[in-house]
Amino acid sequence: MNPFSLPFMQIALAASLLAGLSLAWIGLFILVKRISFSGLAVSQLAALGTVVGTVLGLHYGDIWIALAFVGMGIYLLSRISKNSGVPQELFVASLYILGAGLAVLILSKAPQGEADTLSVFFGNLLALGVAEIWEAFFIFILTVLILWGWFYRWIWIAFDPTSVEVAKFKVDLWNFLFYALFALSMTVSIHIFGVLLAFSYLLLPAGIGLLCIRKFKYLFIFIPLLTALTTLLGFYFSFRLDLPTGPFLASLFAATLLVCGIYRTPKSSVKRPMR
Amino acid sequence: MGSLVQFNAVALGYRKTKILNEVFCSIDRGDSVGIVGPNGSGKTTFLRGVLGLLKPLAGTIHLDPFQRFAYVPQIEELNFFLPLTVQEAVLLSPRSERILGRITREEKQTAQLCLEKVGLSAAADSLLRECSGGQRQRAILAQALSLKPNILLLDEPTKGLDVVAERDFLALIEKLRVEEKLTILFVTHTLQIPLNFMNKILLFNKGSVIQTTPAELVETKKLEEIYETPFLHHEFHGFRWVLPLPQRAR
Repeated sequence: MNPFSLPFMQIALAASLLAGLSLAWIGLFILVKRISFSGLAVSQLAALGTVVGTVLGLHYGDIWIALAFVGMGIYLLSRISKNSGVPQELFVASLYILGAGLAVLILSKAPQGEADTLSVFFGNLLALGVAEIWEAFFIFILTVLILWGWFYRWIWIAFDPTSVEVAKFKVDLWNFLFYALFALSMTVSIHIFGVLLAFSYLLLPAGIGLLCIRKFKYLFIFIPLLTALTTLLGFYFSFRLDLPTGPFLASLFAATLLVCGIYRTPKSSVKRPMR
Repeated sequence: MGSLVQFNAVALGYRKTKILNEVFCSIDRGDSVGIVGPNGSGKTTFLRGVLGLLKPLAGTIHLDPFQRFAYVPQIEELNFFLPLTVQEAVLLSPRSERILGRITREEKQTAQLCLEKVGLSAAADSLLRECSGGQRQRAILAQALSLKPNILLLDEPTKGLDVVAERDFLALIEKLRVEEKLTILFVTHTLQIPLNFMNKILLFNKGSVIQTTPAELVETKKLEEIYETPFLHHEFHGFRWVLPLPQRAR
């Protein structure tokens, strides 16, 4: 039997491809801005919001609660001074621990605690409905408009923010737009396929791209191709092997990144700067 | 020769904290201005004021309405994690202007011309992160030139360069100043640079700015006052050298 002929597989695949491609593009900028740890903390805050919404019995309302938690987290991180005397990662780690800890504590008191924990953290891709495709389509369109449309401006901001300011672009406003897109996409994606897969889509395809591709312009093609191909393979083999799709896909991305990392390390360590 | 930039009793700072007080200075067309002073003396704040990124807390900054700035940041402020080629880095500015990053043939030719001007056309397709410090600095300079500026601000551009790369970079800046009719503002901690390559010096110290010339700086005791240490002055084949006197020699 062709797994892709099944309606529930088609829905799950469409939602995963749309949301996954969006996250993979956002992840490229998360990585080049070196804030991947913040991405993890934000994922946990979105999970906490989803948990609160789930416990309150809200299905779509939990997105708004999650978004509020993510917004608060990003606001807190922006308010913490870089000169506080300790590494900024400490505050990011605290947010991560707070998000994860509170989510588990709340779920432990919920009537269906264990089932809800699995759903929030690992998702249930094959139980998605058409509404989730629309959610994924929404963030996909936003990502295309905001990130693809002004791709080089984002690159310039990541590369040399002061020169962008000198060129009279409002860097703070553009950064705010990026974090708003990031927060919204993570929140919606966690609602669709759980923390684990959302975080995997966010960082791993872009990470593999940065490891394997030497020229920036080829990342345009490589990241979406890799994301789509891995998603298709993950769906196919998880169905054939009767394994949960979300964790299988996340493991496939992580294993690919590790293999690429091992393959690339000796080459890059002997690379000498040009004179 | 009209002033491109004029500071009249300007106070600059962040929120309500003043970093610079009562700054009077003028930068004329074709000037090459060395900006020197101890760490934390307000050099970067001054540059931000010139660039219009900081509004004065008091006084007025007069800028020539036809000026076009380009800024060369400190190399460590840049993100070399991105796998950009030298040419891609130079083209970032025009690509940022338009949706989908489309550029015209003219903009591509301008980028190539700027790379030629800084002697980097052969390395156009090399990855910036794999270039040497001198090449990186010239690539960023080419990016700045692509904006067709008439005022070029450089924030410690020779920091981290070896002595030969530093010498070549300074020669390149002087050549560009003459050929492109640029006005140069050059922040540095190396006193030899403004003493030998600039016609004006702005000395920053404890929130105030003194405008002087290389000859005046050598003749007077201003350096000693600002750095609060004796200096050794030396001239060799027309080149001026100043060094803080080593402690064992005092």
